[in-house]
Amino acid sequence: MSSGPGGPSVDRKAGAIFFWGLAALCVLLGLTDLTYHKHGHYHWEELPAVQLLIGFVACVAVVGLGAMFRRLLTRDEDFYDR
Amino acid sequence: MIEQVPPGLILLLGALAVPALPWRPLRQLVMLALPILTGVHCLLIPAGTEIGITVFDYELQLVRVDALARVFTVIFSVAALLGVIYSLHVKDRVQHLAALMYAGSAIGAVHAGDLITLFLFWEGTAITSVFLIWVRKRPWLLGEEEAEAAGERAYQTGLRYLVVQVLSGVLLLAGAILVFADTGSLAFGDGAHPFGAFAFEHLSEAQPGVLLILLAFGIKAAFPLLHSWLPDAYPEGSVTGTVWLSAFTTKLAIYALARGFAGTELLIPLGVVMATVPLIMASMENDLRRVLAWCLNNQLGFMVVGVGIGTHLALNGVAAHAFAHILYKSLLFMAMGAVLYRTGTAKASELGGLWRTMPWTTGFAIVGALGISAPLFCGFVSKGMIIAAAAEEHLDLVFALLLLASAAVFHQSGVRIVHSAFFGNRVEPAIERAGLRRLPTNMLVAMGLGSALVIAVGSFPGWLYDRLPHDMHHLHYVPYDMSHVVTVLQLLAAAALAYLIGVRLAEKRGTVLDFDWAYRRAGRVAVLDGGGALWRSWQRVLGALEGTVLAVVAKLRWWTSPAGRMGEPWPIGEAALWAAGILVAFLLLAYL
Repeated sequence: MSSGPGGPSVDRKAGAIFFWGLAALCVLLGLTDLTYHKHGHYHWEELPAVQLLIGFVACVAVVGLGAMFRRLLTRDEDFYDR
Repeated sequence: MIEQVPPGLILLLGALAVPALPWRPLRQLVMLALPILTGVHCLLIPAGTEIGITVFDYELQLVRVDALARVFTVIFSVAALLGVIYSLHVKDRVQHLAALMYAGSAIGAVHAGDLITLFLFWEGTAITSVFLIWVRKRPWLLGEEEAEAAGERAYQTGLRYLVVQVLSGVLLLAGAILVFADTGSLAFGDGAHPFGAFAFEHLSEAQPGVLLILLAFGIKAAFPLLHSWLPDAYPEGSVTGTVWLSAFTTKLAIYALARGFAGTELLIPLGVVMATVPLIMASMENDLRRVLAWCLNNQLGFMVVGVGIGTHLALNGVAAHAFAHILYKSLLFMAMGAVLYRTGTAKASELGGLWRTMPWTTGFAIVGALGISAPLFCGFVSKGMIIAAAAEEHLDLVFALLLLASAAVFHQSGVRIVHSAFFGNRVEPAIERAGLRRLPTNMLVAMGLGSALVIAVGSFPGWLYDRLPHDMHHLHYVPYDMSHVVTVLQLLAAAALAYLIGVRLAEKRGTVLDFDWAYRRAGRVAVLDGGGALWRSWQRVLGALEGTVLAVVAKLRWWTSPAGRMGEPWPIGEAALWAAGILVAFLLLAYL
C-alpha cells in the first residue's frame, strides 16, 4: 500500500478534517438554538440542542439492539444454500 | 382524443413493440420515448377523465384520473425514465420488455377505478417484475461456478417472490368477490370519496372481504411479518433490475392503501413497527443493497403511518414522500448497482475506499444519502409533513418514534452506505477490480439526472406541492422555517457523528435470519420431510407419555411394597383417624 500523494495518508488526513468539521458543525447547530425563537409541537422540542441528543440516542439504540440480536440471528453466509 | 388513451397503455403496448424493433439505437430511442410520453400524457389528461367498459354485464372503470393517481403516475414515469437510461447498455431484450411492462402495469393500477381492473394490473406487476430477478448472472469477476450458484440463488429467490406476489393478487381477488357479494359494487373509491373507500374504525367491524383486501395491500406494502419478500428479493435482482423493483411495487401498495384505507387507525401502530424494527435488521446486514431494502421498508412505515392518520396533511405527506422516496432511493440503488457492476460485490465487508476510483458515483451516492431528509434535498420537504401530521393529532409516542427513526435511517442508509463503500478502510481487491471495468456512460447519466431531481424537488417543492391531492395553501405547512431546518440538521449531524465515533457494528459476512426462516427452513423441513418428521414427533410424544405412565406405576408399586409407606405398620390411633376422615368425606359428598 503506497502512502504517497493521493494515498491512504491523505485519506486519513481528509477523514480527520471531515470528522472535526462535523463535530464543530454539531456544536454550532447546538448553539444556533440559542439565537432564535425555536418552536415545536411539544415543549421538549424547544430545548436547545435536544435534537442532537435524539439523533445520537436513536443511533445508539439501533446499533445496540442490532448488536444484541446479531448474536441470536446471524448464521453462516451459505446457511440457506446447505 | 387524448382522453381516450389509458395512461398505462402507452408503456404496455410500447413495451411489446420494443423487442421486435430491428435496430438497437431505434429500440433505445423508443424505450426513452415511452416514459416521457406517459408522463406528458398524464399531465395533459384532465382530472375527472373516466374510461369504462362493460364485461359480462359488469361495469369496469379502466381509467379514473384524479390528483392522487396523477402524482403517482408522474413519479412512476420519472422512475421508468431513470430506469430506462440506467439500463440502456443492457442487451437482454427480455429485461427491457419486463421492466417497461412492469412500469405500465403499475401506472395502469393507479388509474383503476374498480377492484377487478386493480387486480389485473396488480398481478401484472408481479408477473413482469420477477423477470428482473431471474436474470442470468454473468461470470464476470465471479468465475463460472460462482456465477451459476448466484443464478440458482436468484432463481429460487424469484420463485419465492413470485409466490408471495401472486398470493397478494389472489387475496385481492377473493376480497373483491366478497365485497361485491356484500355491497353489490366493485368500485375502488369514487370522485366524491377518493380516499379511504374501505376504511374501518375497529378490526371487529371490518367485513372479511375488506380484511382480505387489506392483507393483499399489506403484503405488497411489506407490513410486519408480511415483509420478508422485500429484503429477500431486492438484493438478488440484476444491477439494473433492482432499480426498477425499488420504485413500483411497494409504492403502488402505498397508493392502494391511501385510496382504500386512509384514516384506518390500525395502520398507525403497524407503520411505527415498520419504521423502527427494519432499522435494527439493517444494522446487522452486510449486503449494502439489502441494507437499502430494509431502509426502504422503514420509509414505507412512515407512509403507512401517514395513511393511518388520514388527515389532509398526512395524506399529502404520503403522496409527497412516495414521490421523494422513489427519487432518492432509486438513486441510492443506482449507486450501489454501479459499485456491484464494477467490483462484483455489494457486501460492506468487501468494500471500502472506492471514492478515488468512482468519484462521480460517490458524489451521486452522497446526494442520494442527503436526499433522505437533508434540507434542499427531496426527503426534507415530504417526510416532515407526515411527522407534523402525527404531532397535530397528538400522537406523542408515534411522533417521538418517527423522529428517532428518521435520524437512525440516515445513519444506516445514508452515512453507512456512503462510508463503507466509498470511504473507510481501503479494500485493495475491490479497488483493483473496480479499476478493470468502466461504468457505461448511460448509468452515470441516469444517476446525474436522479441527483438533479433530488435537489430540484427539495429546493423548489412548490411544483410538487401544487400537485398533491389536498390544497397545500389551506394546510399552513412551511417546510423551510428556521426551527425545522435547524432541528433536522441537528438530527442528521448527530447521526453522522455517532457513526464516525464508532456507533456501528463491524461489517461481517453472514446471513441474518428474518421471518422468512419460517418458510425457507422450518416450513421446508416440514414439507420435504413432512411424513418422517411428523412420525418422529408422534413417536417422541408417545415415548414421553409411556415414560410418564411407567414412572407413576413404578412409584405406586414402591409405595405399596413392604418397604414403602403403605407397607409400614400403622399405629391404631392413626388408622382410626384416617378411617374417621374418610367417613366424614363420604358423608359430606353424600349431602352435597
